[in-house]
Amino acid sequence: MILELCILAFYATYGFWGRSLEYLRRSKEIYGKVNYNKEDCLFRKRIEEYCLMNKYNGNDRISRLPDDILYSIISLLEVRDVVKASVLSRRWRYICASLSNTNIEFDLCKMFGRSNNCNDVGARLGLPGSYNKNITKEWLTLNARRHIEPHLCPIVKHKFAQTVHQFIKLYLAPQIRSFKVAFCFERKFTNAVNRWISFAIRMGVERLDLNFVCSFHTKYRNMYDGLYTLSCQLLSEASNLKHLRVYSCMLKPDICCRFNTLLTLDLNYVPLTQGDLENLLVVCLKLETLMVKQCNLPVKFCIFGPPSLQKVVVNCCRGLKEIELSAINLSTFELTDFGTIKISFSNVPKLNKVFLWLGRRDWILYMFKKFAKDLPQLTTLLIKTEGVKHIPASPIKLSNVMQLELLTYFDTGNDLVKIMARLLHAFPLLRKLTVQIAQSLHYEQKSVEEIGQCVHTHLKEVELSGFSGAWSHMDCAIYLLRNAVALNQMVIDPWYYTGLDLSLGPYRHRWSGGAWKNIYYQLLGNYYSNANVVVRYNQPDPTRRL
Amino acid sequence: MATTTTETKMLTLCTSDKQQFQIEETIALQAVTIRNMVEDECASNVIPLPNVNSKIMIQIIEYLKKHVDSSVSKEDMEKFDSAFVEKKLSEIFDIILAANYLNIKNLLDICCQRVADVMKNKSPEWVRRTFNIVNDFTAEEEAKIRKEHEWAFEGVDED
Repeated sequence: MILELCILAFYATYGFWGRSLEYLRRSKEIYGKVNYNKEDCLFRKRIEEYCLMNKYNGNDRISRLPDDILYSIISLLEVRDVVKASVLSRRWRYICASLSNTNIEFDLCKMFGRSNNCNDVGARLGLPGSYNKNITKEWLTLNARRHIEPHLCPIVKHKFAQTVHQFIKLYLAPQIRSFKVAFCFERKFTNAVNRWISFAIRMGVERLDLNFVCSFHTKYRNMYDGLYTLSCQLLSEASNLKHLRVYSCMLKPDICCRFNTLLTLDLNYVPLTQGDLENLLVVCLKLETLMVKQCNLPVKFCIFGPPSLQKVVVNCCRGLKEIELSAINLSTFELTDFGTIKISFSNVPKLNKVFLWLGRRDWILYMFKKFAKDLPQLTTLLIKTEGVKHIPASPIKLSNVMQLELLTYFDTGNDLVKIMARLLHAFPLLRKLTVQIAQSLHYEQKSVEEIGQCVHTHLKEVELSGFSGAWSHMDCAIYLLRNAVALNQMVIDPWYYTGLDLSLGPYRHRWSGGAWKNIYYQLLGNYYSNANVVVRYNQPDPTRRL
Repeated sequence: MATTTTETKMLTLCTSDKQQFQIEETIALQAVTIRNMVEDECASNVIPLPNVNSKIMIQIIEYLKKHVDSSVSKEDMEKFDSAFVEKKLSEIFDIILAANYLNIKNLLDICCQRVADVMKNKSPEWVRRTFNIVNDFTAEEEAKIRKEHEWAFEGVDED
């Protein structure tokens, strides 16, 4: 009995002291934190306020941030993480629900697991998941979609569709800025996909991105049979839509359905028949950029663009043999093609920038003749070709071109200097020359003097990338240093920025430290030029892409 | 801190704990709030910044000094930024509030990104513990929300 009393007393005392100690500790903390006024009552009041505040918030600093900062944090999260954030507390639910101007993205790889690891998705969905770790994210994205086993595909699709549907049902914010769905939905899901699109349109979507690619390597024709058909009527209801990107859909333009706000149209893997594209250009009244990539097209494609059209990109379209361009404000034209394609420019007074990636070797001659005749206003030219040897010698001149970028990927050996001479000749007003030189195995020195002099008085900047230090490369650099009398700067770069496969990224020649010095002193040793020679060594230029 | 004002124009910033910082005007003007104050000429000699303490101010000046330097390559700048935000979360919140007050958009963006990165693919429980967020939902309410969005709670990172 006495013992129990003792214990009780002990607890009471300890409890009391413990509490007081806690109280003291806390007041001390506050004393330090709050700018303390020594009047006792004020001090007590402060403590009460402080405790009241902390009762709810602890040191929950994130929830006490102003709304606009929380919005900007949440808008950086994936859809999935936003949904998870809404369960944190009432404040977060309120913030997440009233998030406006959002970008919503439903991508298979980001829906059911780690955002950047498709192996996980694969494993979770029961897919074979042993991918090479070194491959790029895009490749994985495509492969995760491609590698879904046929028997699992319907299950995954239904789950995906259900998820999107549910999300939309519970979505509260007044607006969506961009909406993206990336998964292989085919015709069977037309109703579901249409419902999502009309939801996005109702929310005033500006950017719509529909990616229904299943596989690149199944037979084209068969793949097209089951494709989802994007309804133009549905799209024409969109009053804010500015950018539309479509992968693997059917699109049947109808003259009656106008797209009054559309600025960018990006079509990928879309089969189009005679007249479809022409109709599209008629109904898109404000279109500025048209991109047609890997589409099945009819033999002839006439671009009689709306007056707003500024940029056209045509990339590896099957079936296409002839392009006719006529758009009064067109300024940029990009073409990638490996067949024999014919281009005619009929009314393109502002076209001054052309990018060509051509497969056929003799193409370049044809192109040069054509540009000289049809596009005297051309100022920027980017050429990527195997056939640099076919760059014509005189008398073809493109006299307004000020910027030329040339990408070669076959060894031209000792002809490189000859090609440079022709370039200088063909572009008398050139200001900036960028050449990506293919690797060369020619190490024998050839005297530069053999090639005739071609003094160029306008060239200011030269950039030679993919520079291996082989003699043909050195000769090329020396030749330019000697002949371009007005040269300000020459950049020598060991990095080769694009391989044949775009996913490879920059590739570098291995220079030893000695090689670098050697190159540097050799070029400096040529006292023919006042140009500043920069030899890059370690880091590739981050601004350079394809 | 340098005190010479002969060549470059210096500004004096006074933080909440009455510390004074003298920095070059070009560095300080990256903060839109300070720029507005200087342009409106409402600050003659000393610019008072009552919402920023000296500890945070030192870090912000470090950031601004780096970003005013145009010779730094884009890549190096990114490296600096990612190293800069490797701080304790409590410090990040202080910087966020200060950057918000001083209106330095880039700094605010990288700090928000840092906080968002912490939340990526983590369970709500983990996020609550990390940020000390008090769950004020009732159990039924929380269960209801979770049921509505079941898919989002599958396959998160282990805590």
